[in-house]
Amino acid sequence: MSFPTTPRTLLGRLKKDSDDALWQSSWDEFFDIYHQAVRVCVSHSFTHRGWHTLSDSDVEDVTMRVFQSFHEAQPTFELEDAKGRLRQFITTLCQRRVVDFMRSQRRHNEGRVWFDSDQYPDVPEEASALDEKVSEAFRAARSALLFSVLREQVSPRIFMIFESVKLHCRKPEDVARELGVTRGVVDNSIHKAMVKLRAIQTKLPLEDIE
Amino acid sequence: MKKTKEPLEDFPQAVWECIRRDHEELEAFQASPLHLKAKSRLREILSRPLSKSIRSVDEEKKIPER
Repeated sequence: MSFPTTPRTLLGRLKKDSDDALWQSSWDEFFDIYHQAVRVCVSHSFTHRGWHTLSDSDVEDVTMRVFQSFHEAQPTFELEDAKGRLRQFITTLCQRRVVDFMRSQRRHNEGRVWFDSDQYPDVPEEASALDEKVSEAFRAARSALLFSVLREQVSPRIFMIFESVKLHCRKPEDVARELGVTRGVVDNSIHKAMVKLRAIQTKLPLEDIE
Repeated sequence: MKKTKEPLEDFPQAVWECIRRDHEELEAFQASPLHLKAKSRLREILSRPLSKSIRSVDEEKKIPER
């Protein structure tokens, strides 16, 4: 049996096809998973270039532009190993959209006093300088992606049990009592979920691994 | 009698704690007004025709390094 559902599949579903509802829900899911990471990355990118006092709405505008760019890249974008990791791709988009914003602001502010720390034309493309906060945000996104795949590969009951016990730290016996099942059912469900999770993690494309 | 299996603990406890913390923070963010508002804004943006003002990734690759 092949391994049909991986994070790549979620990304694959972001490409526009005939099923608009599936496409929209995939984008919603992708946005749920990556919004925070992109936002943190955008903020960091501004800070890295000496822009420390940006408004939330400006950060959000640029964040939207990053998602818009990602959307516009979908027809030709393939996450092949040779093309690098998803995280690196998103990070590059963040840096480019931040630079676009800074350039537009500079044009807008021509003739006025400018930031002495404005060094935006020299933009490092590598994601290596990302600080810990950005790494944490991408790590959280990756975990969410893993759990999203798991949710598709096990029954709703198994996922609910797994989520309750492993993610929400509830006692297995409490979950069993609440669902009206035996403790054994809970243990078996967690076992199945963990086996599946291990398989997903093994087959997760390298581009998303730290 | 149906045999049950012990849950696999193949992630160390510290990893689970980290995963839980990340999960909680992400869930809180996803429930925030900022995220929900942005989500509906993104839906609106994506429903528009593709913008020509944003470079495609292929085009971006051609931008010379400065």
